[in-house]
Amino acid sequence: MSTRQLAMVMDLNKCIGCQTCTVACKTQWTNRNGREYMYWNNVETRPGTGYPSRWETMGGGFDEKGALREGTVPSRSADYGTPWDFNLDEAALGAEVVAQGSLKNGPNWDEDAGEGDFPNSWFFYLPRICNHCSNASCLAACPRGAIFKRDQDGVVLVDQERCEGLRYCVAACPYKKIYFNPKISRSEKCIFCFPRVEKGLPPACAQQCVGRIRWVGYLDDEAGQVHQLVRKWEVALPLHPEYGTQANVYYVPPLPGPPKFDAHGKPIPGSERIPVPYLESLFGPGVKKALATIEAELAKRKAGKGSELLDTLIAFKHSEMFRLGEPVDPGLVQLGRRGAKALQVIGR
Amino acid sequence: MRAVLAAVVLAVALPAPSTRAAGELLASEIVEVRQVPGPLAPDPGAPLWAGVPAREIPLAPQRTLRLHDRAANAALAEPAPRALSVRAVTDGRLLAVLLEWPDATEDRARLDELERYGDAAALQFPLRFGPGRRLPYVGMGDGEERVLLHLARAGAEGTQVRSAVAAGFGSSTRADAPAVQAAMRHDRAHGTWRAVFVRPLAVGANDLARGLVPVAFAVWDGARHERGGNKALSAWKLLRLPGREVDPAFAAELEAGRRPEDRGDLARGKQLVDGMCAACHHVGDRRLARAGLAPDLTAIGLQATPAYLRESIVKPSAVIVPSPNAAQHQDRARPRDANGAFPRAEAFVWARTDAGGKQVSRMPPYAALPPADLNAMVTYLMTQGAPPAGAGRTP
Repeated sequence: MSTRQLAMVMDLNKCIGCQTCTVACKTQWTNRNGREYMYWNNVETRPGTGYPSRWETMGGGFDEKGALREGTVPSRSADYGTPWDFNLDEAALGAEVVAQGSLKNGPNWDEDAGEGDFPNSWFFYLPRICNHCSNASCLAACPRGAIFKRDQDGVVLVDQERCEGLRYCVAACPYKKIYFNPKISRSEKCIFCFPRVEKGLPPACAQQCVGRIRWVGYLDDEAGQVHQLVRKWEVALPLHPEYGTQANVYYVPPLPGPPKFDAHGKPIPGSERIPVPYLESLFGPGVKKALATIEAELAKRKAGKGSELLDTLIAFKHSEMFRLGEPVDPGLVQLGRRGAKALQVIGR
Repeated sequence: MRAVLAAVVLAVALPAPSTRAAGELLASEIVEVRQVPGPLAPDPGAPLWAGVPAREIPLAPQRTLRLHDRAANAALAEPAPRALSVRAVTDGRLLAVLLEWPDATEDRARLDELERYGDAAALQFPLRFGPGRRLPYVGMGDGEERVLLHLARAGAEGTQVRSAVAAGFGSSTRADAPAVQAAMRHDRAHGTWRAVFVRPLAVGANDLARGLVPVAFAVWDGARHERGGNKALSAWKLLRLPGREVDPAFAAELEAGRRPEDRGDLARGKQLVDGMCAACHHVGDRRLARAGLAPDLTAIGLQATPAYLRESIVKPSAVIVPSPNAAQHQDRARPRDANGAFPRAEAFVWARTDAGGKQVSRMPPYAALPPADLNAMVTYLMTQGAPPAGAGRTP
């Protein structure tokens, strides 16, 4: 319950699963000191078990009456997978590359497996960070009040001085995006790269995204593309809205894709490769409307007309995807893009 | 009505003078501290303990506030008898307390796993105590009366010892008390833990060099996923130190609610508690209220004192226990804020701040209860979480 809320939008039609975001995050924050198993940013294949495996079955969040639900603390070895190394020193001298450790599970164990059989197989990628929820269940579960939500941007952080490593937050987060560090006996999580945000820079995962799938901005910044995608066009939807935490990472759902093929290799008209009910199980009841809006804008574009929504989703200018400064007066939005730009210049 | 109220308040605040010896009614609550020659070391196997009588203390899982770990709550639903035995000695400068409790498995925190919790034990003392001060709330103290805690936990790399000061549930803050030592040892053959705490009688403002010293105990079983507020907790008990005077005024206050004439009718008590308290509280076999509406009273008889229960009924705002409960319940009927956040459900806020900045309990004061009914309710509540057979006796 903050005054303002930073949010991220991710367009799943553009994610190629390259894990550049994952590496950007890991090298910055989680490659050391008890965090090796953590992925504050991960990209999982859907359908799939995700990371940690079967996280959607582990409880947490709020029930339909609004009461905090109990949840489970995942096992590192069984659910996250114990990190391992490779014999890279020997391999550099010609040895065969061999994993060192017991490989039973890992953060991307079922990558690209998806569902269905060729030629009708299907999958898509789902990048996940902490959702910096408006009703954060990790925060609600902490008996010590060690988790707080910053008023100026809604970023959810763990006060490392108050945290005693009790792990009720880990149990209560339905997205399993808060992690226990056994080495320091504290919980740790995605911090939305707040030291970068405070300098006007987007989080590293968004900055490094080669597919330009991530927008970062304030939900109340009506001139920002985050606001437009979430509130104006309503094409970006939170993951599992039924968890009741009001997640603030919003996903543009993947289009159902090319039609399926029949036994003779002929396209089946009107068939959906990615079943819409599956998308609805992830992104809630707004999926059909979001997909219809995108398809209508695509049709406009195909007919040679302009589409502001598609221009935004294509992301011609990387810099326009991030707005971390002061919001423009909402009244200026009415003037349209050119007017707003002109006024920004005057404002300087 | 007003006369009844005044009588009840007087009965709570000013126990009638008695001809009994000071502290006589507290016999069942007292752990005798034996005088021994020093020095005292934190050694659970020290031979001196063999000659020190043990007092068995019943414990019950903390259920006043529900936490949200599925595995811990599943263990709570399978109740197991919980108790510990206490021995205590002093050499006049140091106090040593030996806790022994059954636990078949030695559970330690681990550096390579996330859902492993170390077995642990703790002592709790009121930071300050004596005549004219009420005891702190047994669950980590309260805003007016703080507690000092000493914890020993089976860590990944040996026993972790720490002290903390707390002013209510969730408020414990580590205190620098290097003079407090502790050691733990698990006996697999007998399936028991022993933990010994050694501390100077005086630690900062906490001075135990008196005749009667309130103390409470807690034990955590890692196999039951216990940590933090999921623990087995005792009521306030008393250490009786050798060679020190028992302050009769303090003893009289501690005896409040324990006199034979305070005993009420059990059946009447159950009827009243079921009819009034159970509308919001879970108590006994009455569990119809929505969970979280009020503190769970399932084990209240093993954790509260009669005086605390009387006060809680007559003056519920006397002790306000901080709780994260309100944040754990959303009001889905009211509009969300600009960022989509649901407001907190007022019904689950246990205490509100009044215009004068004072915390006021949501529970209405039952100040007008006839004394016989108040006695009956307290008598019934004190049977909740009844100890297993034999607990409370000196073996």
